[in-house]
Parts: sequence; structure tokens; C-alpha cells
Amino acid sequence: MNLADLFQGVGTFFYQEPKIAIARVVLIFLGIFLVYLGKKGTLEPLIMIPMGFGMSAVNAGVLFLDGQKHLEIGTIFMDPLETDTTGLMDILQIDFLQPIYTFTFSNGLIACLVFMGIGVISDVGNLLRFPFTSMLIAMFAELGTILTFPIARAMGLSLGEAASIAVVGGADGPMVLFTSMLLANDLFVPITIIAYLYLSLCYGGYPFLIRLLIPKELRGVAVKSAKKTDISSKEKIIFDVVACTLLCLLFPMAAPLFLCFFLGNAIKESGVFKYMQLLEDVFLYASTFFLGLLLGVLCEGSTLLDPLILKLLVLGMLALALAGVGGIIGGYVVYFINGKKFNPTIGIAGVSCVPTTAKVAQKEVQKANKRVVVLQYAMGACICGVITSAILTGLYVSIIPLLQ
Amino acid sequence: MNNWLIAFEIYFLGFIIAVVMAAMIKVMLIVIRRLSPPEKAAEKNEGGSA
Repeated sequence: MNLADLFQGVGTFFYQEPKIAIARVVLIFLGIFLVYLGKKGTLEPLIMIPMGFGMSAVNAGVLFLDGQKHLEIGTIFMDPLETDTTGLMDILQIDFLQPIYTFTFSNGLIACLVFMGIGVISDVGNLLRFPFTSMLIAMFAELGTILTFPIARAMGLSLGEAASIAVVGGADGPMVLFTSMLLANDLFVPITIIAYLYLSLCYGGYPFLIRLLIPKELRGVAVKSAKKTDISSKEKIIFDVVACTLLCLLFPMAAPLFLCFFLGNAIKESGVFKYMQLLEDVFLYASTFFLGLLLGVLCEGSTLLDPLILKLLVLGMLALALAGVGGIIGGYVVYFINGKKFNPTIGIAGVSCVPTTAKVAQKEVQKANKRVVVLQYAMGACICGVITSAILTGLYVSIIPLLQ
Repeated sequence: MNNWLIAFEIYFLGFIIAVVMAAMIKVMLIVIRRLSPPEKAAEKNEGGSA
């Protein structure tokens, strides 16, 4: 017996292609680094800590699947690329994460459960108070989703691949998961990983964009205080039902996501406390945990080494950057329409990373002027951003298959 | 079909839908408040407690 068979995690390095072996080492250290950044709070810890652990473990825990023949190398975490039904049934009984991947991740269930949880923690009241302002800002923030598509096509991606990476600009993880599952199944894994990595960077990157594009005196502008209209729970639930039905009618391909978001929100407004606890404490946190873990485990060296990865990295960053710029432009438009009595920083909240971008907007405004509070307007734009992302996702998944 | 045109059409359709939704919200709030204004709710509560 040689040492490679005794310590297979190390031994497999010598039986794999050099680039895969190097990728494994890099990903092990990257995983550890992501855990550190998650713990420090630089990146979102809810996703990064399980993701980092999964990433380093899956790249370390590689073994010979055919004993001493040393021809087949893999892991017993999961196989995302297995499509044959018989092979899948075998793997489901061996790989411990395969049931979760097959029955919740690759069919979009986990995205829907996360969306249900997002619905429960969202308040559509601000959207109902300022619908036109919120929708305008949110649609400007969708510039990333729109402009990235033709750029991706120019870089050689197919229609479905370009649409999937463009949806990253909507800053909505479940939407990206859903779109890439439907339109670009081959790139589902790298696109989703890139989307979640970049979404976690929003908190760190967007303040610089705000300071670059908005001068300090404008960042400190107080919003002209409109008479605050009380929005009752009844009105919010009616909105949830009507909007859900309407959007499902228009975009049945994205109906699962619409149902989950509006159902979650309706449960919150109905005051059924046990259901609210279930959706928020169990569904949302369990789904987020397993989402992060699965994403990390998907970052195995051999799965990620696709020549398209570099293009996707660039396009993902571009999509989110353009989304931020678009949101700020939207903020400026409302600023001028409202006779300079609106804070353009609120525009960044149109990028629907709930509630991160709303918090970023409030933090940057308060740095410029401690007395100004914009959170309610920012949250209205943020929640609206979820809806406009869903609209554009629905349009992409409906229109792109017709063009292929 | 030109990719910029596809993108523009999707954005345009999205904008229309967003504006329609915003208008729908305004109309919905007006209708709900007309059918059951806050004063009626307050009267019902007073009648109940008496």
C-alpha cells in the first residue's frame, strides 16, 4: 500500500491534472478566507461561513472512487453533474448532500423558500405610500440587468447564458438561481456562485460608488416630508393578492417566485404568528444555511474550471456596478422632479439586496448629515426592487426561449 | 434580432408593467378607502364597545 492510498485527500493531488490540483489548493485557502471575512462582517456571514467551510472541505476531501485503480477521483459530498436517473439513485444513497441538492437546489425549491422568508421580513407599506417614486428608482436600478445582456452576447455567450448573468444585476440571489436553472443549466453552478459572492460584496463596494457619484452636500439633503399615510394590514394583504395574481398571469414561468414572496408577506400582514415564526426562523434561516453550504461544496476545483468563468466574473461585476449607477441616476431623476427636495442617495436602495442597500443608503446619508433619516424611502425602493427584478426575470425567462 | 433591441424591448415592457403596477396601487388604495374609510371603522368600534 502506498501513502497516496492511505491519505487520499493528499494522494489525489498527484493523480489529478496540475491545474485541478492547483485550483483545489487555491479554493481550500479561499474557503478559509471567506469564513474569516464572514466572521469579521466584511461579507454576509449567513452565507459566507457555511460557504467557506463547504468550499475548503470539498476541495480537501477528495478520494479515489475506484479503490486502488486511481482512475476515478471525486468526493462523497455530492455530484451536481450527474443526470442519468440510475446513476442519480445510486448517488442519492451515498453522497450525504445529494438529496438536498437534487430535491431543493437544482429544482429551485430552495430559492422559493428563501423568497418566502424575504416576503415575511419585508414591509410593503413604504412601497404603497410612494409607489411611483419607488418604482421609478427600482426600474433605473435594473439598468445593470438590461445593459449586461448585449455586452454578454458580444462576449460570445448564448442568449440563455447572457440573460442568466444579466439577472445578477437585479441583485437577487433566488432570481439568479431560478433564471440560470431555466435558461443556462450548464452554467448554473458558476453563475450562482458568482452572484452570491458579489451580492455579499455590495455592502463593501456601494459606499464608494455613492461617494464617487454624489457630492457630499447632496448626500445630506433632507427629503421633503410628505404627510405620512397609514397603510393598514388589510390594504397590504389586498396588494399582495392582486399583485401576485397579476404577475403570475403575465409571467407564469416565474410564478413560483411571485407566489412565495407575496405569500410570505401576506402571512406577515395576517398576523399568524406561528406561520411567521415557521417561515422566518425555520424556512429562511435553514434555506440560507443550506444554500451557503451547497454553494461552497459546489466550488470543487474540477467543477469550476470552465473557460467561461473569467467572462462570468467580469460580467457579474459589471452587472452589479451598472445596477448601482442606474439606481443613483434614478435617485437624481427623482431629485430633480421633486424640485431638489429628495436625497439622490436613496437611489442605491433600488438595487434589491434587501435590506443591505437600504442600510447602505441610510449610513452614507447620515455620514453627510446626522439629522437626516431616509430609511423608510430607501426600504420602499428596496422592496420595489425585488418586484421589478421579478418582473424582468419573468420577461427574460418568457422571451428568451422564444428567440432560441 | 439585435441584442440591444432585445434588451431595450424587455426594459420598455418592464417599465410599462412597473408604471401600471404603481397606478394600480394608487387606485387600489383609493377604492379600499372609499369602500371602508377609517371613520366607518372607528364608528363600528364605538358601537361595539357601547
